[in-house]
Amino acid sequence: MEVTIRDLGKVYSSRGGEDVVALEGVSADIASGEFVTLVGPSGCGKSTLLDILAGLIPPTSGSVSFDKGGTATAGSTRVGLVFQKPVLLPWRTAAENVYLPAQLGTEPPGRSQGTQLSERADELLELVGLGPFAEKYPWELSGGMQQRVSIARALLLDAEVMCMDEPFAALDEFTREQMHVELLRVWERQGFTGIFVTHNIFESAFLSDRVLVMTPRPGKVVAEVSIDLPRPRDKGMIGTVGFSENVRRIRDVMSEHWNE
Amino acid sequence: MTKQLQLDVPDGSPPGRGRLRYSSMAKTVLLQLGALGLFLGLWELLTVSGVIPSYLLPRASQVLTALGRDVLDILTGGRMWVHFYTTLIEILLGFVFSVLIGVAVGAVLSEFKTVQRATYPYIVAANATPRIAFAPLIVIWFGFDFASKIVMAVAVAVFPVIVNTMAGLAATDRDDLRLMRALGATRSQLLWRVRIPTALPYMFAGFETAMLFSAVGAVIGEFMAGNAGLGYVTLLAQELFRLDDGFSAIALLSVQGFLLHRLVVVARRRFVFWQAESGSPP
Repeated sequence: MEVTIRDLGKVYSSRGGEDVVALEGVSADIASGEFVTLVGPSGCGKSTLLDILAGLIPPTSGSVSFDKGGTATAGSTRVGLVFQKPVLLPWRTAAENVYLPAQLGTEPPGRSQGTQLSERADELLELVGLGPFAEKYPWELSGGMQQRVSIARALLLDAEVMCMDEPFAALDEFTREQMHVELLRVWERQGFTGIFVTHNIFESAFLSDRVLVMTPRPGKVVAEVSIDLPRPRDKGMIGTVGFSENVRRIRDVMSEHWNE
Repeated sequence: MTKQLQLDVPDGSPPGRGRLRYSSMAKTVLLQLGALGLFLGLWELLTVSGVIPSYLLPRASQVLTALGRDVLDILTGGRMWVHFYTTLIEILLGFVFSVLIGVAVGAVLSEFKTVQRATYPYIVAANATPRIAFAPLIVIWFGFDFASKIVMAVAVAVFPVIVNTMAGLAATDRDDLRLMRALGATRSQLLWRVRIPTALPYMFAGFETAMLFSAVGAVIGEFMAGNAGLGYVTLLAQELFRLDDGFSAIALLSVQGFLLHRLVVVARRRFVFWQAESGSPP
């Protein structure tokens, strides 16, 4: 599904009367099935942008549209969300957490669909490599496994756009690298449009087709870098000259637009 | 460390975790029984020798004899059984009504902020008032029987339930709220699927306190009026100068309170099974 962002702005009015411009004049066209990362230092508004895309907060100006059609609203079934924390409910098993989205909204399913839901949840857990852990509770899983559950949950309603807000930031280096490979595998299979927020340049280079570079005060997209690494990608690429070249290009663009 | 622990398993069976835990538990129980024995021995010594005169403190052995007699009486359905049973029912009913009323009031206060703003100071004030001051009024309103004891128990035990229910319903994590909003949850879905489960650990902490407070209220109630219950027995023992009987009744109250509290703890472990593992508050 295509995502079209037009001249998006977000202003937070603070108590002191001084307005904080979180986003200003952000425009971008993201192709269907494309994987895009938003990279920038803290405070550049990348999470705000993601929240607007997910329909969690309204923009002050500008618009977001999907497939040149309607605007996503909160609870839109088309947009999957993965947060930095897994945000799993501890009283629900992995499978029950995965099918939570289907039980919410104005038309939750009847009881007859219960088995269908749990089968679908099992399939998705299988997809993210957690097949045998469907009946485990979140506190019985490692941090990386918990984040896989939250990815499976985001996939439940056949999300065509996945918004990911630094989903691997809290994981250790090894787990993170493994999760990168896994995420790309899932993305290639499901074919969703990926929008991934991070402040990790390596992560953005490894994952994306295109990197949108953002700078703070006010938050805006200042440049974009196309990543010319072949797919499917694997860990072996990280050491290559081609990978370093892409990382360098992102860095150069960053320092060109942002010196602090 | 491991080597030392292995010495506890002289029969050559593998030092599994369960076995080690069992042996250390047995040690703890022995230690606690030892402490009790020491305490009772010292008590006996001080009373037999006359250091503490017998009109102030009966001998430990006399108390144990009275306790043995009372326990036997309870088991055979004698007069003591009626006292034991009466207090038990008072505490339980006081607890049940405290939970029902406390959860309802706590939920209403946390759902309707206007009601909360209008009434919260008075609830705090009521909680700060020594409930025993109401004793004469409660007797006038509810009579000498069961009802007045249960009302007193509720008056004491309902507040921890109200306060903890409110705290629990307000404790929902910001990220959980964000997730539920993103998933388009309705207000009632948010309440039943997230806020109430989140509140359960808090509510159960309130229930545990309520059970202990309900026992306090029931005994106060028996002091106010009436002619049955373990609290009444202690009062009677004082009037008859049968201090050993009084101590026995107190010991029975203590055992009763302990078991009732355990009941709530067991229920909490059953219903809030994720609490210990996920380390969620409180």
